[in-house]
Amino acid sequence: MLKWMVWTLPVAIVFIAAFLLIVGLTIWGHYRTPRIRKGFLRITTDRGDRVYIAYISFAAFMILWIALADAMLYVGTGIGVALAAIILKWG
Amino acid sequence: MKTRNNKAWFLVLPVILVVSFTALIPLMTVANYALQDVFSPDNRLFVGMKWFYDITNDPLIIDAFQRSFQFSIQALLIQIPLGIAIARIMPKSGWKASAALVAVSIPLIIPFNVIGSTWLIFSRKDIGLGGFLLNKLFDFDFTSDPKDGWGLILAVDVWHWTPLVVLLVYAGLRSIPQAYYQAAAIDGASSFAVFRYVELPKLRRVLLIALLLRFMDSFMIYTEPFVITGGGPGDATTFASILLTNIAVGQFDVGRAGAYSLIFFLLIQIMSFIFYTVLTLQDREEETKTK
Repeated sequence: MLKWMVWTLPVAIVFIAAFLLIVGLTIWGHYRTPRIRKGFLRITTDRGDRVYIAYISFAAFMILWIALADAMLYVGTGIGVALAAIILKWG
Repeated sequence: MKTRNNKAWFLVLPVILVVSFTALIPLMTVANYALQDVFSPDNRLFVGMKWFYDITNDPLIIDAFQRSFQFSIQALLIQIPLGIAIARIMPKSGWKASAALVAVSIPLIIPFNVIGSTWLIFSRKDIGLGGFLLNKLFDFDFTSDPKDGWGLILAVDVWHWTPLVVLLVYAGLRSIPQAYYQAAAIDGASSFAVFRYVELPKLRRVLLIALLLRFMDSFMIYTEPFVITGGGPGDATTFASILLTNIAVGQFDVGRAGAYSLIFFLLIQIMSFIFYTVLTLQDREEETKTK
């Protein structure tokens, strides 16, 4: 039934992780209401906003890395994760 | 502080169900395509990030994206000032106002394909009125001259979408209280000063909506160039969406098209997010203050 979707393991992991992330944030938000604050991004964000911004920034950074740096995908991933973490913590 | 009842979110469930079938599941498939060389469901090869390297280093695709950006910026530079100008001279009340509103909104309710074919015939130099007249002034042929093709698509976009800017700005202008105009009149302010210091600041948010809506729409423009020029002459009007369709449906290169779609989608995501953030910035600031 799912054959036409030509599943691969990496894509499955990414989508399941994204789904778990949303569910996790929902449960977390239910027990600990997110605090709205202002970080170095100069806009007021709550926890979910920062997760989204970090997620999108990571994706955008990876595309740029792939476009500009020919190899060293793991180095790029490392920097991307660091970038996302910075946004999550101080964004 | 206001207590919120988050149970209302369950009312969104039907939408999520529908969207997952129309958008999310296809998106998952596209993501799968982007990592593989698919010949058939049984015959496929995992290629990792190969397509992403291909896409981001392909001059054809980079050119198409640059063309789309350029087109959007040119469309904005024409449509926003023109829209403001038209909205300012439109009648303010009575039957004339209604008539003007209807007349202005006509292009918005015509189906895209019809607009394309209308302009296609209108601009032909042998049988079209517009093309025939333009040819009296200079050599106009949108089927062979890249500049003419580009100009024509731009003209169609301006004709089609300036009314949206007009409607938004018109609504914004009507919501400015008369007291501001009276105060300006007492001070003996010139027409330009009224526009610069009264109307423009009040129109800020409406203009932001117009700006970002128009940017997104012209960035994703597909139907008009598809119907009128087919991406030509040469590749003068091959915008990002046209090229994507060529790769996905024309060449049936689903791997490359998948990677391309994901990058396109990411760009649109980023722009939509900026759009949303700018629009809700003021409300959010107030929300934080009251807490």
